[in-house]
Amino acid sequence: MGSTNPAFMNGVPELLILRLLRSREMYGYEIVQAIREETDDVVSLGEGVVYPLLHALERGGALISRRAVVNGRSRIYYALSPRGASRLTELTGLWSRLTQALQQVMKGDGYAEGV
Amino acid sequence: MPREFDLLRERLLRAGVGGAEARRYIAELGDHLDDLLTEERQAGRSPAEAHSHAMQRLGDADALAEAMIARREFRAWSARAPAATYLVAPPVILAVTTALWMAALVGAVTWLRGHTAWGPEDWPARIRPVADGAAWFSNTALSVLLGWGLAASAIRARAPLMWPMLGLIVLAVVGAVLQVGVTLPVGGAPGEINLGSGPGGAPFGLSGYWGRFAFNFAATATPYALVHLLRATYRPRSQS
Repeated sequence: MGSTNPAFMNGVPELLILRLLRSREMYGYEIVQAIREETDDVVSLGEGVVYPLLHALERGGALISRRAVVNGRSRIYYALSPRGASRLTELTGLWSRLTQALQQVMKGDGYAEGV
Repeated sequence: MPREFDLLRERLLRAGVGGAEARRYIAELGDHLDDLLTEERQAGRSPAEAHSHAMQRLGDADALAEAMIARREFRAWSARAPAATYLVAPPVILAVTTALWMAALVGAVTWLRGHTAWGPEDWPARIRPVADGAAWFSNTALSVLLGWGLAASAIRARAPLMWPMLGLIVLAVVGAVLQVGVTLPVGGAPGEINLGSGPGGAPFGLSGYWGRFAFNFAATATPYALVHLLRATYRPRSQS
């Protein structure tokens, strides 16, 4: 399991979850495995802690959930709502500006503009 | 379901997380654990190893609890605003329920007047049991029933003793003071249903404001305190 630094993780799980759910609905276990696969295990969460975030996103209107029985097991599937899609666009833009600014600083090209 | 989840649920409830949120979280963790166990078993691990690895991947107890407790939006109203939940809401509910009960009585009498051929002399005999029952329900049973509801809600929410006890005191006071009076129609004079304050009577020969208060409080606080004490004594403990 890859280790993560919580100080750099602020907002990252939210962005990843919204991005993953953009294409299809998933249940919690699927989401966590998808995060591990898509990030080559660089981002790996204590798997259970994804649920409070999913519940908070749903409460905030970014996600919608539905219960479905698959292979005899009841699962809660999460999907992106229109509000979640807007939030994803906003977070993606913010993240792009932040990474550009950090790269600029790391390369030593001078001070970055405010993000 | 692993014992760890029982401990986690207790910890969440005691920290003020709402019951529905805690239940859903535990249920999803249980489903997730099942998926992890399947994956670990398919990877060739023994059941004991699979369980150990799965629990490790799920997250340690502190992280799982803190992830939920840190989010204020999951806190129950009884934890966010205990004074409003236990002190203000129950007397308001008692007053509203009493008003609705009186309205229902007035509606029933009005309906009977229009749909029966009872003469003035028939009314006392026919509706006395109902009138007595209605008055007893309002003046004796209602505040006790609401007190039991408050106690059950506090126990489910694992609320600390203080606020629910204060709530039961307030409810007992309001229940002792509020009194619904039912006057039967006699000899053509109309009957009357009124709400006021009065010492009235309570079971076991208790009467007067103090008697009614003592009955209301004892009937609600005693079972609540006993269940609270039992829960505190037998709360789940870790196996270590």
